[in-house]
Amino acid sequence: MILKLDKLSLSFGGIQALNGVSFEIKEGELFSLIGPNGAGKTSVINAICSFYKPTKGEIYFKDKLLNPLKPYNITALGVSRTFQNTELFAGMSVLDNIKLGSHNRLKASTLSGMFHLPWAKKEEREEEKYLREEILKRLGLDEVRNRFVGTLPYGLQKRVDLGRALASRPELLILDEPVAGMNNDESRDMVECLLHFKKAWNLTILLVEHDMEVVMSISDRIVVMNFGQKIAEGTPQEIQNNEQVITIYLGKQYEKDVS
Amino acid sequence: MLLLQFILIGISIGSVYALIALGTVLIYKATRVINFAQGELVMIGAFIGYTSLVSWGLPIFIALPVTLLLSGVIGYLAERFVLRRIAHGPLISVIMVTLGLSIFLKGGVTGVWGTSMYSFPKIFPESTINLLGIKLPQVYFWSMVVAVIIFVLFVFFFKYTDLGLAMRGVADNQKAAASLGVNVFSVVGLSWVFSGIVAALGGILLANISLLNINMSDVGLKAFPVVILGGFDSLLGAVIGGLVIGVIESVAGGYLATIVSGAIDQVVAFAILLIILLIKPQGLFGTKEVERL
Ligand SMILES: Nc1ncnc2c1ncn2[C@@H]1O[C@H](COP(=O)(O)OP(=O)(O)OP(=O)(O)O)[C@@H](O)[C@H]1O
Ligand SMILES: [Mg+2]
Repeated sequence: MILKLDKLSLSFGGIQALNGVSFEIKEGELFSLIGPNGAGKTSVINAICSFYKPTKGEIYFKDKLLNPLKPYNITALGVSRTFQNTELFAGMSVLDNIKLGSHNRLKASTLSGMFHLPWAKKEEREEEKYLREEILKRLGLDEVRNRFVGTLPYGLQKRVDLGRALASRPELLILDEPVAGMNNDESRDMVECLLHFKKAWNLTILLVEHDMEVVMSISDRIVVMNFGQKIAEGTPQEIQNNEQVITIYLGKQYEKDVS
Repeated sequence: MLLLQFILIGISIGSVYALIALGTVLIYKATRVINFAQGELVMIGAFIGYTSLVSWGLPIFIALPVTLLLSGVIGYLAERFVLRRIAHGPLISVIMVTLGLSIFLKGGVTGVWGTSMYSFPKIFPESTINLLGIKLPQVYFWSMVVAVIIFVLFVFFFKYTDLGLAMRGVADNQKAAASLGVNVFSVVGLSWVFSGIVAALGGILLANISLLNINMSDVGLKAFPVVILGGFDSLLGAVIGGLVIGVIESVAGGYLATIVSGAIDQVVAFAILLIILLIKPQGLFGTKEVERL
């Protein structure tokens, strides 16, 4: 078990965003979280990453309780995430965005890094080479590595977001709607990249996504949420045949696709 | 020849303005807060410098690091115990807090050092230096040199160090920086430390150019035309803004003061400020519009 949510509740003033949500993610799994708008999917992610403090319940990452941690403590444990509304460093280059992703990996960071002592430099050079070879080239970002992220088209920004999350070498990668707003080709490329990294890096993935074609084709297991509660859990097959899920979510989703 | 002399003096004074404005910009970039206590940090830095040189009798090469260290600590304490408590409050409240901080610091200085004039021990030779055929007092020349060194250090720091990268990240997007493992509070604290240090350097230079007294904090007001000219979020803007304001002030003071009676040089910077705000509210080099008060 790599991640465990135990009866998680979260409220904002009067709004109950999460209400007793429990699920477990196994190592190496591609686990999807779906549900209508406002169901609480992003809130789950923000709770895991300690951006939101749950009002009740516990979150464990590999038996470590995450509740008391600060957002900046989470990455070092091996958890990283992307954002639904890409939160990039718009005024910085693609390479700098990715480098900052690997921020917590550079041991020789502060003092020796500041004065560029030889060993810090070597470590940094090796890290940069790795980031370029293994992440930027894979994501097709190497040619634009010196461009400001804010000037890139949306599809590429989504990739930078993914690359930056990968740069910290997570064990658990959390993705909040990675293919939202992409056309079919872009979406297919993105999924291909995801599957490559999952396999090559042995990642566990928690995926939040509205594109049911993508979700159903790549997920190992799925949890469905509605109004802050878990209403179903199972394999893609089971979820697609679940009457309740069809009524409140998949049915609507299907109508949207047809129209 | 006279014009060249005014320009050179303007560039020197402008370098000091740029240093002071740099502190304002560092804090603004990290937190979007306009620090109204910057001038007090300058004055306190100068007083600490005076105390370590005169009262403690330390030689300059020890007194300087001690002064910069203590000034950095004051910057840090201001952030840690005052600003951080209200960091997520409404912007206007945060800015009011910096105003309160400035009054508090000024009161503290009055308590410790009083309101009389101090003559700062000259740390540069009192001779002149020949620059482009102009005889310039050494202190002016060294002010430029110090400012250049500091800016080169900062550019280097932001461009090539991991910590500098993290600071740029916090300036750009705090939420993203936190999610990548950057301790945002440490970075914000560090920008206050830097701000306290550059302010102290500015204060020591100013005290060498003129006298030291509680009213030195008024120079903090000069930082506003400078950063508004340069843009609140641009380091280069602070440099250019500082130089432009310094030169205009010096030239205007030199030529106009004889025609228009009164301290025209004191007003010029704010006249420029008004004109710029009318034409380009985000400053000449700023990228984002500054939040309106
Ligand atoms: N910071 C916040 N302050 C107040 N309410 C919030 C906050 N974040 C989320 N909520 C509320 O919590 C509920 C769940 O929102 P959440 O963003 O988790 O939904 P979601 O499942 O991610 O939806 P979508 O598919 O539209 O992204 C919503 O009612 C939302 O308005
Ligand atoms: Mg969401």
